[in-house]
Amino acid sequence: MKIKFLIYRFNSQKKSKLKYDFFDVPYSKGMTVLDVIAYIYKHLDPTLAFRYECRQGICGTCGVMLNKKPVLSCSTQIDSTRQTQMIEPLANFPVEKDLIVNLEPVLKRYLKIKPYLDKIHKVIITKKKSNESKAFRKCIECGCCIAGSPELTKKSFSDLDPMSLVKIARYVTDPRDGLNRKSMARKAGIDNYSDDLGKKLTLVCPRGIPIDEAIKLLKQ
Amino acid sequence: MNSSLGSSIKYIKTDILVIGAGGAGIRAAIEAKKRELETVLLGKEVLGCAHTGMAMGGMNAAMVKPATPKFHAQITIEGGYFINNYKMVKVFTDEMPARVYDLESYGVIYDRLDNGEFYTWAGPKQKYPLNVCVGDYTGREMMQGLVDEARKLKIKYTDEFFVSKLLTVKSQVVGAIGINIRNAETVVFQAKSVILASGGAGRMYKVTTNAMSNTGDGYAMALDAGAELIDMEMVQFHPTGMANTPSSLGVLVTEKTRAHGGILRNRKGERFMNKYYPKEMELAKRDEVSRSIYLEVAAGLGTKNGAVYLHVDHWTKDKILEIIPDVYEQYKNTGVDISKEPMEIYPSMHHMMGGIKINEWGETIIPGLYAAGEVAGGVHGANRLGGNSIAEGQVFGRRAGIAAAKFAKKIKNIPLPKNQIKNEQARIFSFITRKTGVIPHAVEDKLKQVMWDKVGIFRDEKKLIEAKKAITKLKLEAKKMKTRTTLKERNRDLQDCLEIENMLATAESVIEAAILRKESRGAHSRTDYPKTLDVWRKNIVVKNNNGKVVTKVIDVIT
Repeated sequence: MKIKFLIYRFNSQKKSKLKYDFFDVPYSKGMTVLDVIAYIYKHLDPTLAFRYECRQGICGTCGVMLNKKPVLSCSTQIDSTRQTQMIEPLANFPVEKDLIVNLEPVLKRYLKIKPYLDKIHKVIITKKKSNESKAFRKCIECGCCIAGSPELTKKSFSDLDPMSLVKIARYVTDPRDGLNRKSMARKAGIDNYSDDLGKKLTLVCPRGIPIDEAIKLLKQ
Repeated sequence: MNSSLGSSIKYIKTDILVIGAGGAGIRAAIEAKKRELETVLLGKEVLGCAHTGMAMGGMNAAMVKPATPKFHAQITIEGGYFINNYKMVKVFTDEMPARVYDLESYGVIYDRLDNGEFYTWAGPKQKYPLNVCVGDYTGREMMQGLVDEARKLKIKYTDEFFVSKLLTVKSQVVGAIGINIRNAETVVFQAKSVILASGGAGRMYKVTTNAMSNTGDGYAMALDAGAELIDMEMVQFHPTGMANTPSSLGVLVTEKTRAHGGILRNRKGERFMNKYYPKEMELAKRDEVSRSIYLEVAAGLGTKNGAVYLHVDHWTKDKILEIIPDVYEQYKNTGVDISKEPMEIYPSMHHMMGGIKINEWGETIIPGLYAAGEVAGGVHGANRLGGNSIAEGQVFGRRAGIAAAKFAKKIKNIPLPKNQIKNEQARIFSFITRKTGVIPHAVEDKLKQVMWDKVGIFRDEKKLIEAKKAITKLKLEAKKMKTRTTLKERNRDLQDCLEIENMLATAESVIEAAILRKESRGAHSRTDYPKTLDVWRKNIVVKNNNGKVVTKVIDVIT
């Protein structure tokens, strides 16, 4: 059995025209999105650009949109009941080439929130304290949450994207951090995030980070 | 467009160049940067996504009594079958607790007990537990802390950059050349000292736990620059790689699973470790468990996927989600609920114990060249204990950073070797410009098969000689590789070509050393020489002599 895949094609350096290419890929049980992409590269089109590293769902470089939903391609199996499917680069990122997005604008934004432990207060961390930040420390910076936030306008995005707010929540729950992170989140626009959007983003996150709880925490 | 290929070169001058942005590389860069030297960090993958992040179970350090650095050193050497570099083991185990606290100051939060003490668990040989951890994604949190610290210190970096050659002048390393993976732009870095921290070579095996970037670049470049490699025959197969779907083949299942009561069974449901290591059972050393699984499957007692079972379905789901949440997810993503059914697992190539021969300061025999992390050898001997890899990278990363900085402060930049630059650029782009040739992945697939079939868990003279011949042939084929596209932007075939040449050079070193060691020790199991011999309590050193691999046997450094 073959499944038809529409693959997004674009090259920013050559300013090529955006198009979708069709590829028929033989389906095998357990096949992942990454298998499909790698099959196309190996057998059908050596110019296809994509990223991946670990196949373990932990490096965070293989995020794509599968049928308009952000997923890690190595950890997501193909639903064989759909005859035609679509693979695109992560939404809300500029595209560099084909399935590869340019991470620079996101990282630039990220640096604004000082994504590191600052003004360390030395505190002994108990199990209870250490577990408070544990869920937020699972972020692998894959960008799926950013790609899964169509509700956010460009303006609200440029201030605070979901990846940044998770990082802020990670420091708010770390007793060693000395910055006023909640005020940072408020100024950056945490109020743009509704409870519903939070719940939706929680479902999008491949690491199961409770983004809704992070939002609630930062709004307090 | 082709005529312009590789015509222009960008030059960047720095004091210290760090090649590889995993645990050891970033740690080295932090140390160099703190010494107010200009430091440039290069990584093949997006910053933060290096293979260190794939480490799951934990990191060994004597943090909680009764464990002591001395105990840590003792089991590291026993676990390494007494051919470790004892001096390196001593500094590693002595300094490890301080490195754990460094990481904590970078943001890492280790799992704790109610009283605030570190949660530690016991891997093989650990009478006293040494593994500090963060769930079963310790490596990822370590990388996060290191990247955060690098961002805080504003360390200059270029990610998705491929270094293809070290530049030397009169046997001194003076920089490196490579291409930006985004657009194939050639960049030459001029540096006073260079730290290689480019990781292992898992991708030369068909089944591996390793990330795609682990292609032996550092071994190949070090050989080319005149450095020595040590213990290259010692290749670790992790006993438990995923084996239930082709997509997940080889992906790591942490030792933490067995350490917390995971049980191995064959197809018939027998707890087969009874037969092989009745005392240690599932927690025998990695080489021992891997051989046991191999023998079980070879005896026809494996599953239809050629695997054995690893059970945690007798644990509560809460325990599974607390101890091994990522293993649970990995199987869930392939349609298996490990709280209800067993995992299928099989050994998977995991780690190169061997590597660039360094001393306890990360110095090689080549002035200006330092190495740390998996690309370096010596500390693990013939078998690495789980939890010692991401750990030692922190100790030797820091030490290499200090030593490289000291060296850089002493010397001036040396003019670059123009011919080497020209020739290397020609080599790189020949893969694109030649008219016809071999498809790169065809060479890679053959290499992976040869290494898996003939240089695997069990070895013998016949298979090793066959492997040697096969690699010689593949090296010639590789010279004729041709990319299937002439695009400069994201030409994955071009990167493959360069990586395949590196994997072949690495494979050759492994095979030469494996042929020479006529005994069985640790990860090196020779069916034709099954005994461990006292006369072989030695190390094998591999070097490149005018394009030919030469070996020598040296005494263990004590």
